[in-house]
Amino acid sequence: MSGTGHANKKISKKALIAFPIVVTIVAGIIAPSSLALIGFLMFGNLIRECGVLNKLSLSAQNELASLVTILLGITIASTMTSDRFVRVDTLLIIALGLFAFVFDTFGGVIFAKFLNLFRKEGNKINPMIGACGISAFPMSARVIHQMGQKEDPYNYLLMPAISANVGGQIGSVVAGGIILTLVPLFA
Amino acid sequence: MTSTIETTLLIAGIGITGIFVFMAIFYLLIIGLDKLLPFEEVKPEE
Repeated sequence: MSGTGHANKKISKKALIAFPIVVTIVAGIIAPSSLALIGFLMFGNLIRECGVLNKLSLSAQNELASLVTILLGITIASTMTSDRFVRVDTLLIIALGLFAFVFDTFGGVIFAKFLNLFRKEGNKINPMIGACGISAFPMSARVIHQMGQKEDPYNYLLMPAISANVGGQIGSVVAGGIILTLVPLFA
Repeated sequence: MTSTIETTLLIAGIGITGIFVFMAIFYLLIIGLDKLLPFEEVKPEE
């Protein structure tokens, strides 16, 4: 059972550069609220793939990513005062999040199995890949890769798993954008 | 069923449909880009 059926397919440089630009435009048209998030995600992709901003790309991947993570953590932690955080609502939100992650993983595997019903023998997707279609990047892909290798040491699922994981990330951003657009309309 | 839950389910339904539509567009977009800008092997100059 293959990961994607298109292992080691070569992609042109032009397509790699056009991809983040086109995705930003399309996502901006479909869910304008998601534009800032998807724009930054795709900007990172663009500076990596364009090939002329290697220094910026390396800084963004290493120092900048660590700095932003620390800053974000400190900012969030500073607003987590006991009167706001130590509440039953917090536990409910954590429970909802856990349910969402569990259902997302389960749903991904089931959907991959469903898609396999329509794919030819020998070109089927490993259903474990479906479990990576969530925004927990890159841990879910790593876990699936390790689980796959535990069953069969020649099972190399990392690349297709990462692809599904990025798809999950983009999907989550667009879902957030759609929800942010819809909620005020129904409020 | 309260109207809040009904509205929530409606928003969730539209959101999930939106995601499937977007992912279908996303898939077609990748196929389109690959067709439009295919990979060409660069031959080294002799």
